[in-house]
Amino acid sequence: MSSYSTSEFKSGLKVMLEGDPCSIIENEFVKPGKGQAFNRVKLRNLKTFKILERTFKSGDSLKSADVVDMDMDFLYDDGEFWYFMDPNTFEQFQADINVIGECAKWLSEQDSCVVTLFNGNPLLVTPPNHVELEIVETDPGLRGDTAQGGTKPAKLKTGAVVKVPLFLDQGDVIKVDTRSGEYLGRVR
Amino acid sequence: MFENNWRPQASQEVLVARSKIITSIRNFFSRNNVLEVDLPVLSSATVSDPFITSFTVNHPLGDLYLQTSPEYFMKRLIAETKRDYYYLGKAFRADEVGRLHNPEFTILEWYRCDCDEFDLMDEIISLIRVVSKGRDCYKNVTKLSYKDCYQNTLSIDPHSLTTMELQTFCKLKLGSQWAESSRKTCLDLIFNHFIQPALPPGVVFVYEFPECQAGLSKLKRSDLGYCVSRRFEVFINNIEIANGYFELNDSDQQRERFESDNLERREQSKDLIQADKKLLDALDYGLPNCSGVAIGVDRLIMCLLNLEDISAVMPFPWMYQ
Repeated sequence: MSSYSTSEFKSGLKVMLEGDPCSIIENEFVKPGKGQAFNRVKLRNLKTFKILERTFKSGDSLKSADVVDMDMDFLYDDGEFWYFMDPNTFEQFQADINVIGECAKWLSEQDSCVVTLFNGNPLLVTPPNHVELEIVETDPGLRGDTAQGGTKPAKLKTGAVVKVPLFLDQGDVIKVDTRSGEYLGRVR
Repeated sequence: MFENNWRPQASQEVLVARSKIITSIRNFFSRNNVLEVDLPVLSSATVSDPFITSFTVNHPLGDLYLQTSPEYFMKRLIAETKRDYYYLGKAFRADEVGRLHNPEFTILEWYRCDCDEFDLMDEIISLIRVVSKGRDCYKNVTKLSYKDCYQNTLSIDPHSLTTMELQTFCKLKLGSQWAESSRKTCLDLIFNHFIQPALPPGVVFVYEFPECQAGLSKLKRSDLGYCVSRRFEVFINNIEIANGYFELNDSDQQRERFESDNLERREQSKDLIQADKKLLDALDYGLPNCSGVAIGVDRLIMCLLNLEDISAVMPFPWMYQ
């Protein structure tokens, strides 16, 4: 397996740290005028998503992590596993709830998302930035109230609950930003 | 395919500001009767500091080194002429690339005869006033001993802690990879991670560095009985800008420093550096009591212009040459 020296560390590089795959966020070379050179590195543990800070001696190295991001189609879930397919090879992958996490509440069948593979197995699933989902449950809409502020909770087809403007009704389809969980607009 | 790599990196505005700062530095020294001197950047000798790597230049008559600072030449010059000089020009340090480092950089180094380190600090304050045109953030000047910095922030005395205690601290705070570090490295780690970020804003002088980090400064006994060095550093808004000494002028001690540097180099499997015989001869001849300081000019300009990266003040930084 290849490894990277501190001088090669850059944002986005995937390395192994203390047994877990990590992504480098930031690498700062530090060298007191008269002293030891070192690198202060910020990393994200890709399993726990925790941000870590470590100081390495300049010239030290870390093993590369076999982590790749792949565009895949979400096929279906059976309650235990979520199934994805690489549209180029038709190879299928399954991910459990630990891997899917919060992403589950945004996914509809046929959605295209990014599946991060670690040693060939799904490590993380990132939903599309924007999804269009139907409202299945909310208080009745206030007709004509399209300009006023004010929001109410609405439950979407996939289970997510987002804040929406008061005029929306059950059956409306809305566009949501999955990164912030924010309502972006009505689709129809 | 059209590539953009040929373009200068610093903006036109920054280059104009840079040129004005350089001019004001030269005017400052001319007013204060310090003579500018042009020195070689190639020499058969180089610095022995185990943490500084020189570029080596091959030549049929023997390898030469690009100078990491003009220090040895300046001292030879002062030993002969007993007057004050400054050098404003290039210096080179291999293996130092980063947000605050460029392997080829501009250094300002000057020496004042019959001045101690505190006299020189006052002159540095005057220079910073001039180049910052009296802007407020540079009027805030603090002088702290190395020990006070540690006591204010961590309530520990860096001089009286044993090396093992320092190692334990580094291991606990920064991980087991540092458990075997030298005293010098432990102190650097603690200083960088905990002390430097807590320094007051503005211009800060830190003086009386530990004996093991003396560089080429004289030593003295502190009030509390242990030995400290007459070395100081200057920080502007937590960024290291300059390093200065009340200069060591005893050739026997200088010889010992060369030897201990090489011992450290051997431990770290680095190339040994031959002691500069010409410097030792100059010290034997007699270097007057003097203080000297080197300022990283690019970093100073970066701070003055509120920029975040040293490459923003260089027309052609590393990898764009």
